[in-house]
Amino acid sequence: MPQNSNKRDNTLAALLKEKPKRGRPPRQVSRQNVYVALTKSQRKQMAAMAILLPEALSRADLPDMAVSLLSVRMESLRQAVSGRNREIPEGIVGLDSLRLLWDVPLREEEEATWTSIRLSPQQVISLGRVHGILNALFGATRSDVFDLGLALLYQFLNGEGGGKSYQSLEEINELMTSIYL
Amino acid sequence: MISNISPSVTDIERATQPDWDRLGVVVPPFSIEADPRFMYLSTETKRALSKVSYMVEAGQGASIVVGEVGTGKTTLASWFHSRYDRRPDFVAAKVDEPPQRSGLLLLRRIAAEFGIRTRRATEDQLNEFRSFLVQQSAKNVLPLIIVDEAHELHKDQFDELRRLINFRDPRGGKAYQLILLGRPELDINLREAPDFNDRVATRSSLDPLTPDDTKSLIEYRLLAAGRDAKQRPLFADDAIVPIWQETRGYPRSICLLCLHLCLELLHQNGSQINEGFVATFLERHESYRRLGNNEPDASE
Repeated sequence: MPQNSNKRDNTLAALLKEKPKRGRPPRQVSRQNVYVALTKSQRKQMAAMAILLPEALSRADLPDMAVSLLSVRMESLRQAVSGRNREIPEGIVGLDSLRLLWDVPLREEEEATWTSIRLSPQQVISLGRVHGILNALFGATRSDVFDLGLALLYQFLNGEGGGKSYQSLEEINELMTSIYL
Repeated sequence: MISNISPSVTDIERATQPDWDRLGVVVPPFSIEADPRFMYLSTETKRALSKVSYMVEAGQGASIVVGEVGTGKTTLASWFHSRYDRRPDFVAAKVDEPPQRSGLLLLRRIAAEFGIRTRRATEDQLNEFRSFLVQQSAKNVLPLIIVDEAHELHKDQFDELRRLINFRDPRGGKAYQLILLGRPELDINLREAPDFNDRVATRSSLDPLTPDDTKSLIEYRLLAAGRDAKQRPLFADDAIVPIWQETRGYPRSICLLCLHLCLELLHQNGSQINEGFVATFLERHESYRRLGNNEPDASE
């Protein structure tokens, strides 16, 4: 009888059998590649953040979340100076100042390698917008901007956004908006 | 007669004036006056600048900056005043040293800085402030009050400041913005004024500099004074740690010691300050060391 368990399915049955999917999960709107330089510690940080995510979300969603959060934080900054003909308060004199304002650790010099992150079309536009502002003000690169977003996301997942059971990116975006705007 | 005297006075002045050109600078680099042009942005200073300016521009009310003597509070106060006062959307008043005890006197001092009419009764003075706020709000201008040496404020004065920041322009919701800078006693004094303490939007502290920041401050000051960055460093790397140890990282003490070291270098016709030069200077000038030790007790 043990021979039965070793019996191989025929080809058709094998094809029809449910197997775990490989490759990128299908999405309604496909994501786009954006090139940034990431350091080893940032990659480790992303792996650490992936563990904190609820089951409905995965590591692949982290770049979208980071950009959404950065956009929300920048919008709150813009609202703070609205009517003052400025994008950013007077005393913020560099990216370090932004990090100090938001209580995220300062960036340490480390060797970075180029890689592609995949972002939803809206997040590609948002990252471009924030990059445009910070580049005009402080000469920030896209990698610097994404790094700031990652640092904010790490702080968020270990603080206000930690331990919540959100089911989708939309839900987490709503949470970010309700906290910071 | 005067024309006879003048040249000799000029000659004496010339003889006593250090020849800064020889150090490659156009102005004295280590002046201990609170000059915002020479403000070195250490990590702590950047933190204070970011948080306080965000709170001011977001209209959050009161911000507190505390730091020991010589950590750069007055320079920061001057920076806030000079930057915000020249902006068209702000009007800034700076009180360098609050008057003793009286809340009314403090209000009158602030009123004088804004150019508001001063009154003899507290309620009248507050009404003047209310009218000023409405008037400025109509022009979309936010009034900012900066109080240096705020650790000297009395409980009654905190009460008056609280009443001031409670004003809202009924049409625009604008209010007075307040920055208080003082020694760490300020935090202790604020505990006696819980109503005001509750309205503090952000607290920052200015700590002494690290050796790396000490080096950056010295380099920044020399650069701001006009020294060419391509020139051989005036302060050798090995001179930084003894300077930091001697001054314990307090910016004003660093500037004072560096000023004396530069004067000594000029006197000796030397070209660079290194570890040995600093050690010899400190050994020979006991009086300087006593001055340095007494400094934290002096008022800022």
